Amino acid sequence: MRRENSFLSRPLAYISFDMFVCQRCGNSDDRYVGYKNGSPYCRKCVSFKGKSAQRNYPFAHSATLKLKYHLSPEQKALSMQILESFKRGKNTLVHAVCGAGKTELTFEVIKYALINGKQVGFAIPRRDVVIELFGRLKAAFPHNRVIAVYGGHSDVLEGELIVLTTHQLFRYEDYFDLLVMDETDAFPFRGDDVLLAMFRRSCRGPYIMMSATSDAEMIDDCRRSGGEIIELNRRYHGHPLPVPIIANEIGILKYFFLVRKLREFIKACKPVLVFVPTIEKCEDLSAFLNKWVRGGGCVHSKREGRCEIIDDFRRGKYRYLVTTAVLERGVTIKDLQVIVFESDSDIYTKSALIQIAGRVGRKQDAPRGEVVFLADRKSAAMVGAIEAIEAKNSSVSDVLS
Amino acid sequence: MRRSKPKIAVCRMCFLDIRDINLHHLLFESGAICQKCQDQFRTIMLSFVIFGVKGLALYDYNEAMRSALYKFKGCGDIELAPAFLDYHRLFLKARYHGYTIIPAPSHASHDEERGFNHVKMIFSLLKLPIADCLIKTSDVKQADLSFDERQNIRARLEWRIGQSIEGKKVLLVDDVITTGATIKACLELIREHKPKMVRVLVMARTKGETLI
Repeated sequence: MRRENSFLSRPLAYISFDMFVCQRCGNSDDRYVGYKNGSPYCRKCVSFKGKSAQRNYPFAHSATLKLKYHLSPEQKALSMQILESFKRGKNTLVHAVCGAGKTELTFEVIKYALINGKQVGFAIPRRDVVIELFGRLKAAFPHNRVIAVYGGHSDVLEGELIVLTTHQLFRYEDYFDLLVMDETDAFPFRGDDVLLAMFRRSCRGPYIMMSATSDAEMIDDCRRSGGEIIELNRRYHGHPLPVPIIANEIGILKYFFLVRKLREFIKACKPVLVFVPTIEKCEDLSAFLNKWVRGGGCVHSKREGRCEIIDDFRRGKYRYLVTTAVLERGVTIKDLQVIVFESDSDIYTKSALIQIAGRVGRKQDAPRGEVVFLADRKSAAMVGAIEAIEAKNSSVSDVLS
Repeated sequence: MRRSKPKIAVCRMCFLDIRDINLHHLLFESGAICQKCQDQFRTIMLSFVIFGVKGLALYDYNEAMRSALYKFKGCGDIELAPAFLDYHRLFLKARYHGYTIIPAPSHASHDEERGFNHVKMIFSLLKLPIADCLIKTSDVKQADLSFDERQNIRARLEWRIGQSIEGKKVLLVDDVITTGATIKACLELIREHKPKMVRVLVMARTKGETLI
């Protein structure tokens, strides 16, 4: 009689079969395991499917950095600090306020890595931001091969500097000698453990994470791996962050307030963004507002050609835009004013509100602006966001005095 | 060898536990996906006539349906197969009792790549006999073609030799109907083999330029 009950007498394949662990995302939860023709597969990361990148790109071992503007002394010091920690192979977490010039901090280290023939990646959760940043990096490194990889644009996968969405990281297993990750707190990266696993999987060297509202978990993770945490509580032009104003109006009064406020801004020739919680609200409110205040448009993730609309807005074709969270980050428009309609909605977390408030006053020649939270009631997130911004502003004045 | 199922049913779409048991669940024992995910699919139950044959479209081809079908077809997530028809299973079983299913054809290379035939997988839930008698000879996707180009599909279809449906009640099924060109071409072929009765059942219908 065979010893079938003994654990050791089982064939090895059976043991590994019984405890299925996904090789890609590390998932071992029972509910995510599916069976196809008798063999298990992971249903959690099944949608990450496509060709992966080859490691055969010839490196030029040279790079020239071309910037149209100068970095502030503070930015320069910090970018040298990041470079030092990269040379020592350490991870870095950059915790800086909105509009501090986080992206520019990494240019020095990217240049160093490119000269040494290292593979550099720049990952961002949002596709719009990838497209925008691709243009900036291409202009900054004109002699290197910079490519952008995002959903629907993934024919070319190899280059010296790869700008990509976090969803495309699955194509690069154990690939990047330096991986810069911007906007780590943005949807869909935040709270998605598959994307986090993909991020870990594609790192070969150290990483640099950047965020305006990093959470305790990320900071802990970076500390544990022996990384450095760099803080920048000041915008590059030295002006404090605009503090949001809460306007509590009930029911239909919100609409009256909104129209009045919009007219006020438009009279002063200032572009305005009105943030709303949902896409349907966005369409409805845009239709309503267009009856009262002319020259408006609406932008949301389902709308086609939104890049053109945003460009038109920059050029002044639209006087205001009604938008959802798509424009929450990565947008820089001169002298912008922001109204958050129904900011007590559940989708506006504290960090989302801080990001939205951070759209205002990002340019040197228009460092101030107004942020209005318009809602029925004060939510904890609204109060928390205002407190956080005030705390950062007060730490700036400490430095200055 | 399958492991024992977890005690609480898990939704096949959102992976959360199915806790909100409602009357429909109790009466019809449908438990593939939770009510929330089911509500995302918009049931339209649209009757139509195509090429003189009565047809039924179950769902509207909306964003939720598109992404679920992409995950199922494009990514080969076979466990999603019962999610589509489970809710209407008993109704469909009663309505099409005694019919033989003819799945709309897809090219063999696509099936091989995916590991299964998606139309057969979806409609095998109805437990009706399946007669796989249509073959697609070239691997041109209908979705990549324009309205006029789609109408040439008849030239790319063939009858599988040795299959007979004479005197049978047959039900032509497909996952998505857009212009109806595939269904129409299939019906032409089926007509030549003299079935007793023909009906069409499609899962989702897209909006736009159609023959129906």
